[in-house]
Amino acid sequence: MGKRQPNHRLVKIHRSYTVEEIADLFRLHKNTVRQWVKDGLATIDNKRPMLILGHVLAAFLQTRRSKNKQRCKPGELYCVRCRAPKPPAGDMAEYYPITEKFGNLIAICPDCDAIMNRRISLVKIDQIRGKMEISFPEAVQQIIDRASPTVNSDLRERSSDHAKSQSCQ
Amino acid sequence: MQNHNPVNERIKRRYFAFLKEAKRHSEPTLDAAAKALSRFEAYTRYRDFRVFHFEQAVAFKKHLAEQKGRQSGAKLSRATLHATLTQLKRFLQSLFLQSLAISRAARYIRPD
Repeated sequence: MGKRQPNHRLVKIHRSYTVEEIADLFRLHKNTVRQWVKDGLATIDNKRPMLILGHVLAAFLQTRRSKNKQRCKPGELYCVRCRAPKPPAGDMAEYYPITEKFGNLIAICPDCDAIMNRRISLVKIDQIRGKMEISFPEAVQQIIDRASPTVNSDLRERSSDHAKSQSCQ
Repeated sequence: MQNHNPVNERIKRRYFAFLKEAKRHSEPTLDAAAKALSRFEAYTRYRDFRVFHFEQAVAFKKHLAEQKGRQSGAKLSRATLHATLTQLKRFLQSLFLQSLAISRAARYIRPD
């Protein structure tokens, strides 16, 4: 099976194609291509074998690809379950850093309560913010929360340095 | 505006099959032929190949010499002109031979 979005650049614009040739080119089933014809892909005439111009096919695939593409505006995240960009519930989102420069915005979808993610650059966060209130993690997250702190530390050495410095004063 | 001629498309298709299968030409050669023919068709406003007149080819040669390249903005090089016109010439010759063969065959087949 071929890709979900066939690459329109594989089509030669000065050539014409039959349904079978297009199916071979994109490794799709012939019926998929016939469905495209029903959906509005123009053929050269009504005669058989059905022929489709290369530049017409390329333009058709290009518009299909761009039609399905949905960009998030500022203040929006893409909900995978609803398949649409949406502003988060309560206009609240949380930023989880991945590196120093970029991280994920995480929020909840207002309609289906699913978690929505958006990868953002920290530099561009003000452009993306919109009406959202973004909360940042206050402390560095640890793997395990401990009630009693570990005793294996170099605090003793530091405290002795501190004592020395105080005695010098 | 018309951007193709169905009859021409089918003739071209048969010619490309001939180049590929009988002449064993490579895919880039076929691409070059396709580009040359589409240039000629665009110039003749997709007029039928069956009503070809040699004046069309002469005028196309003059027209092509004045065209400018999309990338460079300069006039098309002699190499481009030569390659395009050679491909066109071969195509038209094959069309002519085909029509000649058909008419001769018809003469032989014709009952006395």
